[in-house]
Amino acid sequence: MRSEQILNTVEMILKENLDVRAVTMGIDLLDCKTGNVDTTCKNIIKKIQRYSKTFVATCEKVSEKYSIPVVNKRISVTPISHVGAGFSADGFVKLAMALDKAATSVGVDLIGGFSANVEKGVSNADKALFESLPLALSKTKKVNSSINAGSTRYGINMDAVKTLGQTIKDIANMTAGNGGFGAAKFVIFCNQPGDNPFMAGAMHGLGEAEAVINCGVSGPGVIARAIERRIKAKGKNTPLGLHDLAEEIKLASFRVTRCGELIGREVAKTLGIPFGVVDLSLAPTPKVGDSIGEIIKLLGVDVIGAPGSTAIIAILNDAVKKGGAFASQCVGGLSGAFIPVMEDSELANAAKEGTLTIEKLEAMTSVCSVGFDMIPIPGYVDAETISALIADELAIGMINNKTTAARIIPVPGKKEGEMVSFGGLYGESVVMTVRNVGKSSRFINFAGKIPAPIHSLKN
Amino acid sequence: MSSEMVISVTSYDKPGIICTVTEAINDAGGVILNLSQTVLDKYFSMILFAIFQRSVSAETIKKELTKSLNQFSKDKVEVSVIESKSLSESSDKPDYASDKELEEEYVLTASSISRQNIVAKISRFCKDNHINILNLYTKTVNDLYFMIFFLDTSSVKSMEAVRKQIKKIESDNPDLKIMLQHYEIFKATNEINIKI
Repeated sequence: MRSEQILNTVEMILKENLDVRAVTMGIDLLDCKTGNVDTTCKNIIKKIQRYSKTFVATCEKVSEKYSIPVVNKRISVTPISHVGAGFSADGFVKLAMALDKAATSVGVDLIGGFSANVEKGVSNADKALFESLPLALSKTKKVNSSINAGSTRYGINMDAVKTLGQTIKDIANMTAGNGGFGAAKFVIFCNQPGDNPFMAGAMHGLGEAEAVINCGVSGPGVIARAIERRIKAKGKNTPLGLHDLAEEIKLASFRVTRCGELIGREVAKTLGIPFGVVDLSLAPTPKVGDSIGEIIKLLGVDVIGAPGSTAIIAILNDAVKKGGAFASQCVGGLSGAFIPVMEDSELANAAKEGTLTIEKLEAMTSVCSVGFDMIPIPGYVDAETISALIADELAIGMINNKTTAARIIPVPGKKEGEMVSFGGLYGESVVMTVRNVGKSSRFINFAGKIPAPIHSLKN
Repeated sequence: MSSEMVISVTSYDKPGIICTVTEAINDAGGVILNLSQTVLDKYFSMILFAIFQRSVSAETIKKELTKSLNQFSKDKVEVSVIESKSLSESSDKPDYASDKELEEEYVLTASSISRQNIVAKISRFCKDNHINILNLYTKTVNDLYFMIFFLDTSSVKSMEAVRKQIKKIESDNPDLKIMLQHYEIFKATNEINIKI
C-alpha cells in the first residue's frame, strides 16, 4: 500500500465529506399481526426492539473502527398495509405511533415502511392507510411513508394518484405549523424497490428475509473533488472529453461504494443478520462541498438548469452505477444520483435564482435515480395539479422501466419565491413555481388506470 | 556451526547497491533469508537477515561488505552487522508487514504543520500502549507534514482507551490531527480483490 493511497482515502473522509449516509435494518413484521390493534402494536414494538437493541451502538463502533461517519441509522419494515389489514384508519394511526415509539426506544433516526403497494388497485387496508396518513405523519416524529402507485408491469393507478394529491395537501396542512413538514416524510413511487435504505421510501419489501442490513453510501463531495483534480491535471495539449470525466466518476464511485460495503457487511456480521444491498446513490446534503449541483456545474454548465443539465445527470448517474456495481457484491435500492432540491444547497440556490425549474427537474428525473424530491411548492396549488405532477413523474418511471418518485411539499401559506426551511439534512429552499396551476382537473378526474406499456409483456 | 546475522546498509542511492551487497554475502558463504529496503530522499537503506553455514564473526562480514561497497562506489556507506537474537525462532514467524493479514492491523495517520518532535510523540504513544510500529512513512503535501504508521494493536488491552489517549494528544497539540483506522478500509478502497 503506497502512502498516496493511504492519504487519498484519508482525504476522502476528512475533506471530501465521504460518509455512509444510512445503514438501514429491514425487519419483517408480518408475524406481529393479530386481530387486535393494541396487541399488534405491542408485538411490533417488541420485535423491533429485539432485533435492533444493539443496532445503533454497533453502527457507531464500526464507524469508529474505520473513522467513517455513519450519518443515519434507520429501520424499515414490511409495508404496514399488510400488517394492519383489517384495521381502521384509527388503527393505522396507532400502528404509526407504535413504530415511532419503537424507533425512539432503540435510538434510530427514522423508520420507514408505513407503506402500501397500490399499483393494481386500492384494498380496504390501503384505503384505511391513506385516511390515516395526515394524522399519522403529524403525530409522529420518525415515521416515514411511501405508496407505490405505479409500475412498468401493471401501469399507474390513477384512482390512487387522484386521492394522494389531496392526501399530500392534507398532510401538509396538518403540519402547517412546521411549514408542511409532514409532506417531507411522504413519497409516491413508480417501481419502488423493496430494499431502499433511504427515506422517505425505505421499506422492507415482501420477499425479503426476516431481517436484513442495507447500506446507503454517499459521496458527492468525493466525486466533485475527483472531477476537479482530473480537470486540473489536464495537460495543455491533452484533450479531455466527457468520457474521461465519466471514467473519473466511475473510479471515485468504486471507492465510495467499497466503504459502504465494508461497513454494511461488518455491521451485519456483528449483529448476526444477513447483509442485503449497498445502495450506491449519490445523496447530497445542504453542507458545502456535498452537492450534486456542484458536480453538474463542474461538468460544464454555468447554471444548474441550463441546457445540458439533463445530459450531465445522465453521465453522472450511469458512471456512479458502473463504478459502484463493480465495488459491491450486491447492489440494490435506488442506486444513482439524487436531485433533492431542498437537501442540496446548490440546487436550492439554482431554484432561488430561477435557473432550475420544475419542468427542467422533470426532464432530469428521466435519467437520475429518483424523481421529484424535496420540492416545495406554493400552498395554494390545488390537489389535482399535485396529482398531475405525480402522474407525470410516475409515467416517466413506468415507460422507462425505472424508479421514479414524487416527494412534493405544498407549503401552507407560502407562495413561489418565499423561503421554507426544515433544518438539518432536510435543508431549505425557496418555494418553486408551478406553471399552469388548475389546468389538469379534467385529466385527474378521469382517474382509472394508465395501462401498462406494451414492453411490459416480456413473457 | 552456522551464524545468523542482521545486516544493514545505508548509502547514497545508485543502481547496483543491492547486487553488490548480495554478491558479497554470497561470496562470504551467506544465504539471505529476508530483506527489506527503501529509498528516502535519494538515500538507500536496507536491512536483511542472512545465515552463514560456516562460523564467521560479524566483524569479518562487515569488513568484507564494506570493502565491496567501497570498490563499487566512492559515496560514503554505513554498514552494520550484528549477530541475530534467536533468528531460528523468528524465521518461523510470519512477516506481519507483508505476508499475513492482521486482524489487529491499524493505520494511524497524523498531520501537522510543525515537524518538531511529532514522530517521537506518536512513537511514545505507541510504546506506552504496547503497539508495535510495523512500518512508517512520512510525506509533505502542501506544507502539511503527514506521518503514516502501520500498527499492530494485538497487544492493546482497550482500543477505547487508545482512542481517548489520541484525543488527549490532539487537545494538547492543537496543530496535530490524528486518525486511527483499521487497515481494511484502505484495502477495500484501493484494491480490486478483497475479502469482505
